[in-house]
Amino acid sequence: MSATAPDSASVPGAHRPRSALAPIPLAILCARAVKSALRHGFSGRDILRQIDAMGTRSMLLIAFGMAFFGAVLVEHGASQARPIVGDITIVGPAWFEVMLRDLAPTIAGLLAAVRIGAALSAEIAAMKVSEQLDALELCAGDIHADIVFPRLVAGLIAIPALIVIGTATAELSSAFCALFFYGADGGAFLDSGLVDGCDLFAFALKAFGYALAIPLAAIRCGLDAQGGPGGVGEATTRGVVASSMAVLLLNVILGLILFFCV
Amino acid sequence: MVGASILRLPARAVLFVSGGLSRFTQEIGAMGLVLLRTARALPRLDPREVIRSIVGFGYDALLLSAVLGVFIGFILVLFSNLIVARFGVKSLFGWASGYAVLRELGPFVTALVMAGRIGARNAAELGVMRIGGQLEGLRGVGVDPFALLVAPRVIASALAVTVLGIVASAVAIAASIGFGWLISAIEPSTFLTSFEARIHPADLLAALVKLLAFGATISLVSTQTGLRAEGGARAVGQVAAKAVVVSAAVLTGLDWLITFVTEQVLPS
Repeated sequence: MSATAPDSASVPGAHRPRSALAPIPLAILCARAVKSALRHGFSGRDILRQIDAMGTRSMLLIAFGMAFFGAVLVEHGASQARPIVGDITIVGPAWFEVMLRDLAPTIAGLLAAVRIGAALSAEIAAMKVSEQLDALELCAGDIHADIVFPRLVAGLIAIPALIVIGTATAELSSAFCALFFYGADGGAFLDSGLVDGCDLFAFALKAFGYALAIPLAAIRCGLDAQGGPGGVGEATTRGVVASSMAVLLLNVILGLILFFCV
Repeated sequence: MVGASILRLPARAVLFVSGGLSRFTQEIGAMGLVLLRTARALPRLDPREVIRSIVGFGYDALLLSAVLGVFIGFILVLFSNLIVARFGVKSLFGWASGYAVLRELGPFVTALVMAGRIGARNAAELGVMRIGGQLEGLRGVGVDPFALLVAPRVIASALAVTVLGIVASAVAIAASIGFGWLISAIEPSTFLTSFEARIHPADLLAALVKLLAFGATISLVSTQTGLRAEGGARAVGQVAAKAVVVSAAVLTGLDWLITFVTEQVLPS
């Protein structure tokens, strides 16, 4: 911990960016966090605490939300497919594949973005406007190593776990609904016969992409907060919108890449 | 030690459940109060304040909802592309995507993002007024703060979510025509034929019902959360975050409930 690290003099966000999702500033923020953490060291305990704050406390929302979402989709799917195919059992395996590679990770990511984006940007914006971040710098701390890095690492661990949990709940609840409400074979909705490595790769790519983007966008909006309580509210709103739009934008980009390259 | 904590488990479970229930009842009660007081304030509404709120909530988020529509259209084409490839039902693509946009993805995804854009903003602004003592100040000079400041926001935010959802759904359908052409090689004319033949007014009505319900939810949840802010700058961030999270949880449950009812009442 050196008191006069060359990059600790300039507080990020002193210049106000127009877009919270501009890729280069986000990449710079990420790189600075990693560099500062390597130089100043980081606390494993902080990372664990953030995993608890992001992961454990979002688990209920994600599981609950995705269970309902799976049920809703089966209702729609059944009313769409039933007049055409009669028994909806035959769409089960294709259903499982589509949920796994497209819908479930994105909607779970969206719910995670809403929960984690709001919490992170509110927390960091409150630290910023109450000058706690400046105080930390004066105490020879480094905000990139002490604040940003643990949250990024915790996000990379917690968010994929949340997406896996959300996807599993959605699949289970759609199988359950197909079985009990539509008299289909519920097992067909858990049949992984059509799932290949490419689908799993798409799932993993999306999960880790969202896991990187959500905390980065939210932290960036938090660090950009200015002014009093109004600034915190503004930053929180921007943080939620930026992280959920980041999820949807990444979905489009990764979807195009996967479609044209794999 | 372990035995004692196991013995304490039932008591803890009861406390957890009863605490959750009482918080839930509190939230519902607070939302009901906001609704009632808004209804009572309707005759005394300040039109200028309503218009200002509609511009702040709705007009400023118009671009966001259009971008959102493009993303929803893309999700949909990716999703249907696999189904089309598996079952070879190109001729039904227009119907399938129109149905999915109107009945599910359009209203639901828009509502989730607008819970952030409009709900968090509403809660934060009301929270700032609340902790700054502005609402009490108005009451002190004999003006009803609810009719002047809160009721226009309740109405404007509910209206804004509904209208923005319609915009996003329209853009999503246009985008799915475009992406469907690019990715799944489905001619726009094929799309439009099945869209026109099989999309009924019932589907539009179902979308509208969902959007109105989601708009009312976001507006009531964020208003009551914002009005209960206590503390300093940190509290403003907390109420904004809480408004989004509570809205998201309520939206997923409500989405299921409305789908269940509309599939019975408004079958396609």
